[in-house]
Amino acid sequence: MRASSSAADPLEIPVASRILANGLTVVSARVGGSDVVGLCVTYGIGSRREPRDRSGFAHLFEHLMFEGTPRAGKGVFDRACEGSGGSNNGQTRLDSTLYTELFPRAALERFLWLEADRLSGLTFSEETLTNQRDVVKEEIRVNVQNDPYGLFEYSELPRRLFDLWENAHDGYGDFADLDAATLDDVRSFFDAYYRPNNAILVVAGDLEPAEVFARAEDAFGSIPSAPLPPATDLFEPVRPSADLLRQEAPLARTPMLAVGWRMPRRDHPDAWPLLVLGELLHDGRAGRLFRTMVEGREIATEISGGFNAFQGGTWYHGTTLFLTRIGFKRDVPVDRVLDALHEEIALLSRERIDEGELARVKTKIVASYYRQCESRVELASELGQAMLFTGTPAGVLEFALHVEAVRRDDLLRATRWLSRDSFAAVVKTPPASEDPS
Amino acid sequence: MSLADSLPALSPVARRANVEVVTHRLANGVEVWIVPRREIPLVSARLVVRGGRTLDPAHEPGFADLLAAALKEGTLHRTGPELAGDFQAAGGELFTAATDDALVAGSTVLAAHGDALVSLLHEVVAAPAFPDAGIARVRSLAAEELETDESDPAFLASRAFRQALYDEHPYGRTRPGLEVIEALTLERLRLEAARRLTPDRTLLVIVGDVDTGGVFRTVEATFGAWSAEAEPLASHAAPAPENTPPALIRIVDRPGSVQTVLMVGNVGVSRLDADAFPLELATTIYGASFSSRLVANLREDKGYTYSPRVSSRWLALRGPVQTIAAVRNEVTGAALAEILYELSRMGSTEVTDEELLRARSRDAGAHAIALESAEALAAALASLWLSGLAPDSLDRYVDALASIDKPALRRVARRYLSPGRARIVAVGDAALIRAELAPFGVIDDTGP
Repeated sequence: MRASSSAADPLEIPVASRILANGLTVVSARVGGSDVVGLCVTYGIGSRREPRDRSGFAHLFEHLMFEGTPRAGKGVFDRACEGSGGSNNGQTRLDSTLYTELFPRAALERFLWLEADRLSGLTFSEETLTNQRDVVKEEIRVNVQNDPYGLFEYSELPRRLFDLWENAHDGYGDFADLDAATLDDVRSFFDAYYRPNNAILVVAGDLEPAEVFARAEDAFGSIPSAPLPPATDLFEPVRPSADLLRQEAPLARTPMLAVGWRMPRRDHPDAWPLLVLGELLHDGRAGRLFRTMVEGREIATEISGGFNAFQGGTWYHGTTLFLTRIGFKRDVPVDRVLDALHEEIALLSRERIDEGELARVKTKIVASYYRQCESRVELASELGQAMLFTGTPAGVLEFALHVEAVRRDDLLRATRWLSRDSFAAVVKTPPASEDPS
Repeated sequence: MSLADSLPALSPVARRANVEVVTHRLANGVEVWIVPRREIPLVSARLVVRGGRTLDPAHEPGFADLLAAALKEGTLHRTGPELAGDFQAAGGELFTAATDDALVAGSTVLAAHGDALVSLLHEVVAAPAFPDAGIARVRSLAAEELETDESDPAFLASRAFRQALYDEHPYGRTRPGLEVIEALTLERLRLEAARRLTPDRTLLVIVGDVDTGGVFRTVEATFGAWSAEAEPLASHAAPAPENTPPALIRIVDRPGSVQTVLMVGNVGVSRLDADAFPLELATTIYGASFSSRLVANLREDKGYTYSPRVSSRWLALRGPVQTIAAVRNEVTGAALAEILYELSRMGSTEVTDEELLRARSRDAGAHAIALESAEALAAALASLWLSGLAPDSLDRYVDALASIDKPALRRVARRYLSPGRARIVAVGDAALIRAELAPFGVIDDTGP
């Protein structure tokens, strides 16, 4: 019943890119079928490379990018955006910060103006810094402190898994560090990283590339570039020992386990096999862990995780984590859950998986990626990541080919990164008094 | 009026949703809506059966959720794990759910597997098997999930809010409680599946990279053979009455909380109500958009909350109009005062021209954005059908917004955003926040 051809086609999206004289990378992706345009400006700075005594600063700074400029005061950005039929968001990742908008095609010039305006300079006001510090603290309270598990796989597990401060610290930040942040910090962070030569602009929609390039040049062309701060290598070799931290979670009623392993560099031959292993283990009811731990042994209740779980795909500097998160029954000791997990991985290191199962998993990975790219703003974000980490859009357009290329023997080999001797884990358990057993 | 010097002007924006829906009705009553789209090689299908938690017997609130979950446990031709594997082989995952108004099943797969998707979905609803192990798993997972959610303040707030707002009306039901979960049997599942899952109550929406003629043939070959032998079901419940004064406050104690989750709201309208579009715009100006009054006040001025969320939910009957905000303990009373103030201001003064124009543009844009993915478009179309509307209603959205004036907004705000008749739920550390809440209404301790 299908109109197009074979199973794992590359995405057929015309993509063109160029670099302006000031170093800004501009990408145009032509997608028809709707008047909606997705735009993403990606800056090559994330929470891993924020200042050392300023944990959470990259995220706090992201908030300040919405708080006004000398030309467009506080509130103008959101009013102009929504008054044009658009919506916007910001996202601080480990290695990049994304500013995204969706809007009707007719508003392109206006959104390019808004993005160029805030790259040209912010208001730098004490009042908005105080206000957004409060807002960020509420964000941390709602997502971390008042939540039974508090995103502990993000805020606490890396501290156990990694040694380098960049990899180990919590990107949401300590309240003391947030309190210590000054306007001077804001200015110097902006001056250091918010430069056109550290930025990628992607526009995805039914637009001529020539129009996108011309308008981008008009809006951004006069913003000066500057040398970027040096970047250190974030790679860490396999963890020399295993580690399990037990913590009481006062607000929780059921236990939750997060396990992480350090991963090879993104261009290592095991990276894509590890991505496939992530899906093989964690993909819903068809995933190995659901089948053995929820259905078979009946010890677990929910399973999630995967390779490079916080940034997706193979987009990361140095190293990343492979994550498994398991909600399990209160009467089951955590060691039994860990043993079951290690046994499942050991099985994958001993026996080639069935060709049929591998084919199913690959199909699912490609389909999930295409679902993500259906959203123009997600497509723009992915193209921004591809340009940031590889300098070409090929990683998005040829995603299916990378997945297809993974063979059964690659999986056997790649399991060595998931050893029972090199993980770090944190388990959150409800207070003993809550436990009826 | 300009927001900033040199901010570029806007060109005219397209007014139509630009969605062409081909509709067809099978002899057994199944409605089929198809939207071909070529940009990405995917097909999304969503099957909805009229009647969700509204059809649950009064003593089994939330049964629909268990029925939806049990559909994943296999069919007469495939075990649960086989079913999961076959969806995975197509590139998807079977999604099932109960809502207030419907049972839903669907998935999104690679376009090459569109035929498989249609026949798998047919099997799921027309030939479900409820194996013993599967029923035990549904019970066990539902009980564990409930136990986990009992620690989630947002879940506790929604559950208490629905009860406070709708009382005995079916919209007051949320997820099944432990007694309903533990009482689940094969007999009840079989009976309710036969009663509820029938072709004459079903819509199948297919959106994506399909050839319309081919997909109709596949649907005929699968769903066409689904026979109806059902007794007619009672129609929907009556609409819930609107709240009466005074404002009632229900506190859900969650010791150790560092924030209070506040929910404030009223019974609103159905999508078919003449007030539906005015209320949509009024909530946008009040708090449902990022440039709204409530966000400007609670977040951008006071810094009390990360993100207040406001929605006027279009259900088949009168849905809730609700505000949710998580605020630090010490500003619980101050934040509630600002929410009630902004609600009251919507009814006591007129909005500005700029607010009205911005809200129209914002809602029109959000409407187009919400139809971006095949899955979201299928869900939007299914929601229209459940309200008894035709697919071309999508195209009337923008024009409907354009005709609404300022007095209409004030009128609907006085009726549906009234702070004096609001139902208020606060989930938090009761010992710390009780005194903060006392000035705002009658504290009702009868609830859970």
